[in-house]
Amino acid sequence: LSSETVNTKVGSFTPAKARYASHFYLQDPKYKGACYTGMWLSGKPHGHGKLVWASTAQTYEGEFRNGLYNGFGRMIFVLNASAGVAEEYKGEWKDGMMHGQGEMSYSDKQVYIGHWMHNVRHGHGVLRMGTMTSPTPSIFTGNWDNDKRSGFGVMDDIMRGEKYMGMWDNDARSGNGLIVTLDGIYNEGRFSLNKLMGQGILLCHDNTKFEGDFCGDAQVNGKGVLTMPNGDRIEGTFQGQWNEGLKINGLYFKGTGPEENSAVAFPDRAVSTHSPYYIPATKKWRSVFNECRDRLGCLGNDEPDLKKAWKSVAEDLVRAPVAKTMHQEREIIDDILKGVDLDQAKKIAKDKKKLQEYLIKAFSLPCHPLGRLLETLVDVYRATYVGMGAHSRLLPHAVEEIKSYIERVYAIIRILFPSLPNEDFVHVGDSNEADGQSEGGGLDSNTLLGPLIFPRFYPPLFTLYALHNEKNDSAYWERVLQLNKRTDLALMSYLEVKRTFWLASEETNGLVYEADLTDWKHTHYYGKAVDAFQQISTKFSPMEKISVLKETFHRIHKEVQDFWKGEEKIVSLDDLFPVFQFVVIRSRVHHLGSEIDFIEDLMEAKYRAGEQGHMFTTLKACYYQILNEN
Amino acid sequence: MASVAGRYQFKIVLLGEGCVGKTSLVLRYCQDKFNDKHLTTLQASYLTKKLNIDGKRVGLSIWDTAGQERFHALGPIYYRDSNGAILVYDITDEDSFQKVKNWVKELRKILGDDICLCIVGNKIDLERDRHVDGAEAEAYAKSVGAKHLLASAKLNKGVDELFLELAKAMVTAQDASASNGQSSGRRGASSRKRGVEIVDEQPAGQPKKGCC
Repeated sequence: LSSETVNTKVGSFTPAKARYASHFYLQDPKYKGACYTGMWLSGKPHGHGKLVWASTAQTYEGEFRNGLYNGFGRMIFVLNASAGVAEEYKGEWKDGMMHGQGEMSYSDKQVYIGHWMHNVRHGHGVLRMGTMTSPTPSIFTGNWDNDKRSGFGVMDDIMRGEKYMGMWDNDARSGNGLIVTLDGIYNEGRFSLNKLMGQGILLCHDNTKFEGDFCGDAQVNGKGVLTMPNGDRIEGTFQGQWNEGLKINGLYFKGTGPEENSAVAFPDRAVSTHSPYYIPATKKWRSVFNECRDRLGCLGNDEPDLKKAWKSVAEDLVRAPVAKTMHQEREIIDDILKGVDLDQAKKIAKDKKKLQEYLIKAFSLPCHPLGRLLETLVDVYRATYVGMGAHSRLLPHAVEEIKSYIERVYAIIRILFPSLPNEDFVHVGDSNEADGQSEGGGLDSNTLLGPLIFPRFYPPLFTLYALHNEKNDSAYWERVLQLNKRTDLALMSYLEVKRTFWLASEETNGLVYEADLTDWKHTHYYGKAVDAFQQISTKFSPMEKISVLKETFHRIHKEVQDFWKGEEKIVSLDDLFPVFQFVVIRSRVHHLGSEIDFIEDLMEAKYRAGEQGHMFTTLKACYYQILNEN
Repeated sequence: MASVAGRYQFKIVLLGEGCVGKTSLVLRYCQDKFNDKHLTTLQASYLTKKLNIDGKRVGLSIWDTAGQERFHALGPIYYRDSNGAILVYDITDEDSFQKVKNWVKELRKILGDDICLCIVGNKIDLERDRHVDGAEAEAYAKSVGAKHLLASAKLNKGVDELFLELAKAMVTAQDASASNGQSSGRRGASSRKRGVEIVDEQPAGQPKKGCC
């Protein structure tokens, strides 16, 4: 309230329009029996106040507008005063109703945190369902429509030891979905009335696969094909619960032996996620993004309004409860607020570094719409892929999901910085710049957001890669440990590194054949390159990992140059490859296969044919060489 | 690789046994330096060159491979998505020509006709030590639909020509596949779209060479 509305004139008989007072409601249909203490405007509660029903102790404390709950407020709903049964809502209100973000603690111990509309759960929200006896509640994370689960959602059912991720309708699992269980079973299909019905796929940890008719989760009934890990298969009719034995009436076919284990050779890592029951990543978490758009003042399909968007950001930042915001954050908020004027927004968008700085700040503030968005995305990602969701078969889903986040977050950022290039249309021309010259030049969603977004999602995502590559990575690790038992010179000799590039003087060269040197493990040669390469696991985005690679090659060349004072140089890959292999072996990177797959899947396409692509290809080649060579 | 408005971008992979001089050929081509100790670039395993062929701008990125026999199995990692391959043998070394034949067989098997091949007999400065019959090599190249050229990195003979020949072949191949796509109307549109998608994702198999 601005001070002009308050009557401060001494001696005036007209009461001030706005003032602080208490009032006991006798007649009012809504507030009958309650006592209001707080700010008034023109005879209605307006501003901060507290409403208490003396008979039940039902209480609302928070903001009012024109006599209605509006803004942030806390309500204790008393259901049964004598038994002390009550529910509590803390959150946003609009025109007297729960509307916006809010948290409700129900009398049955359930807690809902999420979006509300017209007094019911609507939009993105998380419901924790805990009973008195279970310390770990089951959790639903997903979309709500008119108080019912509807759309995409993830249900982490701790009691049953399974996680469902898929579509919902009218509070029941309905449509495409999949279940992963504690036993490592992956069951995918079409759900109806909360149950898996009709065609579906069931995959076990050991690659046993059933494809056929279901009449419940892991409940097989009807035609199908059962394929064993060794390639044998049975076609026929099946009946029963997967874990309790199946009744089979069918034909047995001897397989042609286990499928060629192409994983060790050269896997074409185009993972096919596209089973008929697959849900595209763009269909997931739509409300999360829509609610962020709403926050930025674009309701529904409205065209974004730059001024409105920045005004909303400012409002959100100012409204942030100061008590919760630490001093340092307060400074950041002030900084951001200073940057709110629109000309500045345009200037920021032109300067990649400034823009990134702004985004880092915004993403770190939960009260900023962008910070809130990212925080929610991290939450839903973890809700999906941590715990039982850490299942190697979910890797393709997780990869696709993070790619989709980057695109969609970028689209939202364009509301605030409309001068950023629109990526709804693919620029074919851009991908042409294969010679690496485009590097650092143009801004696109990946260059801009990759370094900001990947670190937050890295732990669950990389866990999936590690699970997916478990076999190869442990085989690789064994090889690396074995190779590392050799001394530097013995190893270089084994790898057929050209003598010139041993970077050892003639006298030392003779020592390599002496057996007593075998326990001399200290790395002398190419040590700086080894140090550089080890950094690969400390970087969280594909491009940063590629930079590590670039630095490694750079240091290899530098060490050769320093040793030979420019007389000799590594020019061809014939010479470079064995040296690089030496460096990689000495670096002892534990999950190198996972690192490679991570880069492969998430590296930007435009770099593939360029120098970075060649370096990465050499790394891949090196990994397979170490893995497969005896 | 895609091309746009008269621009072409090709990936060429360089295959051949260790000592046939494939790296020297590229160095000669890209920097006109042979066996020079004062190279400006730190490494020659990845080089680029821009060309102008009949007014068409062509960019080449040339990928070296490790030629030692023990690295043979790594070939597919390097040559995937290549538009062209240069297979180098040493005319004084019959064995190196046999290796080229192996590569050709493998490339044709895996990439089919999507890749333009150029077989190069290097070291023609050592003509008197020739052990690979010129006519035979020529006939072989013809039989597998490859170009055959002779060169000497040392004397800088035939080097520009070989890259130019290959670049022309790749332009022709790309134009052909583009016009194929266009003439068949709807399929043209869909394959153009596919061309775009390839940029974004890992192509599953070997992509039809970009039509746009």
